[in-house]
Amino acid sequence: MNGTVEESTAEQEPETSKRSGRKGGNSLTKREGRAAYLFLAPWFIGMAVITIGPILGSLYLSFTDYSLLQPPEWVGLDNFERMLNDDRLHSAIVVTVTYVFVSVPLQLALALALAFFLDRGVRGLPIYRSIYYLPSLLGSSVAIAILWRQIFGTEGLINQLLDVVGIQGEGWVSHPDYALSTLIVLNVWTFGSPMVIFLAGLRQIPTMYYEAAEVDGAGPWTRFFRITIPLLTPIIFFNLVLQLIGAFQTFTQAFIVSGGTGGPADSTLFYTLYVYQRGFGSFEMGYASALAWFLLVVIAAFTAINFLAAKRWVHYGD
Amino acid sequence: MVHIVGKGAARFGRTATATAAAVFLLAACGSDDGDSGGDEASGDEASGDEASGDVSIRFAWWGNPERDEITNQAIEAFEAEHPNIDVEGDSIDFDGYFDRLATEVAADNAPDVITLGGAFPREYGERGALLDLSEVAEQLPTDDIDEAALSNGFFSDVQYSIPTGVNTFAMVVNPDVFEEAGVPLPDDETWTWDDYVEIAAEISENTPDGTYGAADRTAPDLIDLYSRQHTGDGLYTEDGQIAIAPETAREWWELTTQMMESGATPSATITSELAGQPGPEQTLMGQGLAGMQFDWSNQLPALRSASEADLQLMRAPGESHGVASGMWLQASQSYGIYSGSDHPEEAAQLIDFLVNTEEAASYIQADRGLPANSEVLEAITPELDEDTAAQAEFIAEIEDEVNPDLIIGPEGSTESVGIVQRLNDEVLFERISPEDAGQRLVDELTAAVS
Amino acid sequence: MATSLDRLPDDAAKAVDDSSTGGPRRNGRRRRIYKHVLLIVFGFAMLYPLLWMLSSSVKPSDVIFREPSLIPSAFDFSNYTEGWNALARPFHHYLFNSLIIVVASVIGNLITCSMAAYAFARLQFRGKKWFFAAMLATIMLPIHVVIVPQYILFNELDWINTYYPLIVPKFLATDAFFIFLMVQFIRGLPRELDDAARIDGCGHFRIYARVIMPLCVPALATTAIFTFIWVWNDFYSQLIFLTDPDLYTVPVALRTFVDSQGESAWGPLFAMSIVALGPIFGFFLAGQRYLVRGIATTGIK
Repeated sequence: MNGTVEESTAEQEPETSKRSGRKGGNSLTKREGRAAYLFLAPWFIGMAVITIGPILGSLYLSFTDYSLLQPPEWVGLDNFERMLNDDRLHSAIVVTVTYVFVSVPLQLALALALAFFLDRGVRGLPIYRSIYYLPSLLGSSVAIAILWRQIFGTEGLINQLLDVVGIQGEGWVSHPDYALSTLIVLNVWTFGSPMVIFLAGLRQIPTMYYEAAEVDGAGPWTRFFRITIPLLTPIIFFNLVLQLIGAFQTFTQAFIVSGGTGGPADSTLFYTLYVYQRGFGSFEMGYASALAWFLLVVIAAFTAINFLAAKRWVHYGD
Repeated sequence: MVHIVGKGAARFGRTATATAAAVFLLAACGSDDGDSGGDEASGDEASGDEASGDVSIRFAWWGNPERDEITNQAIEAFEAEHPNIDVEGDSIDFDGYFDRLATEVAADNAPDVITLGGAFPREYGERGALLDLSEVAEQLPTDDIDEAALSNGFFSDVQYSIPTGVNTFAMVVNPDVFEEAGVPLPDDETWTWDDYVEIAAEISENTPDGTYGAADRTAPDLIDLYSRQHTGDGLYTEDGQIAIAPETAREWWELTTQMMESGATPSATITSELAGQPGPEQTLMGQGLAGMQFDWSNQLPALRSASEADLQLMRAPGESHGVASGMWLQASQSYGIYSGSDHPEEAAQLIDFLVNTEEAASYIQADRGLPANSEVLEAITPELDEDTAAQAEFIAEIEDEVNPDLIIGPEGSTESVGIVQRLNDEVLFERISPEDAGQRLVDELTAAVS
Repeated sequence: MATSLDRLPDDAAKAVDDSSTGGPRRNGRRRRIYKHVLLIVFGFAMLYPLLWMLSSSVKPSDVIFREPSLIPSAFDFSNYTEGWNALARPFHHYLFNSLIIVVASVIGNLITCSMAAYAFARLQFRGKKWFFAAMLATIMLPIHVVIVPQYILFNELDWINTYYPLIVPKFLATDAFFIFLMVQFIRGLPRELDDAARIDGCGHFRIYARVIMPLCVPALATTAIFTFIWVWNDFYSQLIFLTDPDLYTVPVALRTFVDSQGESAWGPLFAMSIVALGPIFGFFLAGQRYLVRGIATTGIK
């Protein structure tokens, strides 16, 4: 039974080559290439006209001193050298890395667990699914900042509950030691998006695999680990890659909850928040662009590692 | 909806042929003078708007819906008086306003009339984004405008902006809290910082938990005030250097930590929590939970309505004991004209209407501070509501005794707000000593303005 | 909490067994009740902040911060009427503006992202890996450093104060997130389906439209839902590219209720925030049944 899955993935490479080889190769490959460019035409146009210009623009700006209000001035590598001695930058990196490695696994685990839980066999499913998704709808609403204080503030819900059991709580949002944790909670709280993607992925698993497995007498655990998880790996991989990219760029929640300061005492100063402060707060868009390009390189490196590692654990049906 | 098909579609054909975006971009970024690029675009716009006027100008401000409403009324009155000018008003909240403005200046597509505040006129003016207003002195006379407030927009011998109104940083007190604590109100003409510390502690002690003698409002404005009283120098020197000594800042933080420890001001977490909540109704004073709180005088009406108490304005402590007066009069906001504007004269006419006419003031009243034009102020004084009148009275009372030399921070100084708040958190949470904080304040401010 | 989560797969599978074998046994029923209690408690934790917002929206502005209780002492719906009319235009004006952008964006993303995804997932062409990497790289730069160059570009195109900067990119497959998402879904589909269609003489376009897309309904639904929600909530680019208050969208309009320098209209803000949640929640409810129409339920075996 587990043969079905593994065989098909093992076959993947030879199969594609066999196919193009069998059907007389070159003209077909060429036709396929032409078709591909046609399908990608909107993307190519978008890339050329809309996307690439601003990206190259920011790359150029990263080598300049640019106040936004005055024309940029070429300064070579000055901005990148400055990054070496920027203490606030270093603390922003620590904050961001901590956040990425704690909140991404937590959020994904919760999303996956609930997606599986909610996938089948519970009455009133659509209602639970909707309720769990609701917090993700709030997005960047200004109301989030107020809400978060109502929960984690000195007089907030958490402290009221702690008070009942006789513990005097802290002002979680405003204490440098705890503020980051509340943002991690905030992120985990919006696990709705990856959950929805997992749910959609679960429905993509052909029932025939389960039926075949049942015939083979596989129990629920075996089915989960031998069918569900392997066939869900493309989606798990997708969520992992995108959540990681997103987490490195976390901005909105920290911006809203800290009022744009990254406080208290820089404890929630995320990398992109710092980029924003430099660019728009201190009129140093050149330096901000350099910071952003460094971030791009780091994220790209993590993503590349992810893709390399994926060869070992992600199974595609094709 | 209309705009999709209207303005954009007409030029879609032309723009669709646009070749590589990068070329555009770098050309635009690289253009050397901020004044040349935008002429074409805004020129088109003006000719497209002929239905309602010959010239179209944009006027941008920040604020809440009430401000939008009265400002739009004033704009309509202006348009009625100048049928050839069409004014397009843009408004948004404070944070969004400055992000958008910086972007628009970068793309040479900024509003003709720009609203600014605090150190922003200097930040924008010295970077060449604002017009030298002497060029439009004919349309925009400033003779009746308060000298001190006017100096807020005057840097390097250029008048960059015109004050909308006058404001001062003062002490707000809640008589109800004083009464509850059984503490008499201080005499603000003689009181000292020691008195302040003592009174605050006494109030905290004699009121229920959660009510404090004072809120810790450490901010650049307050440190500026304290420093001027103690040394005669504020944060900055005239030529844009840092004037404050590390010792002065150290003393300030010793004072605030002492107050926090005695319970006169709230704990570090509460102070830090409050600092992240901008609105006056969220402050301790607005919630009726503080006896004293430093604030801008134009916040009095909002604080009064939020706390439902008869709050009073007072002089800062130590005014009569220091080397110099620490308080000052400042433009609450100011209007400037974009240096790339195609219609500077019409823009000047609009500003003139807004700050120099009774008609505009009859709508706007004291929403952007008490009118800086003395005649206009006189004319609207009878119409002012009770809360605004109290504010006007206070300013009239202190006008002659406050420190006339206000030094607005140089380029980069708008960062000071963030620096001070961060250091304040570090001190209150005992991560650094007041001494280190004083030194770091000077170092970081120096780095910010250089 | 943690322990019960660990046992999820087991429980879920049991639940399937129970229903398939028919007659609810006592043990199964009790377990199911536990499960619902758990789900409801957890759901309440998820919902608390929203309930707080709902309750604040019917409290007078000045009471919101003084009275933290979830159940308002008095109901006052004036925040809704006031908020609806507080801005230069009635609030439905902004809802309508947002709707235009959102609907166009959903259509654009569905068409162009799925096309690009099909090419990346199923077709062989020169430079595929590099293009794919470039596509992913476009979402790795923080928006705050590209927004100014973007603004300059759109200003040159004379698109400022139109909806073009918000809509046109969606028709040019600039949302790499959804391309990648659909690539993953398409790659999860068995190749035999395409091969069978090809043998029947289908060209690529027909395979894309007739075979792959119908099987990607959950991915398309996800794309539609997320595009709807994200564009609806996208404050920043709408703030920057739209300066004419008549063109303001919901998130920008909501922001004008707040004034960090003066008095904010909190009551109306919360009321209108609730109103603003309506369309996206409605769309989610309507769309979520398509989320589960995967290959598993379409009968392909």
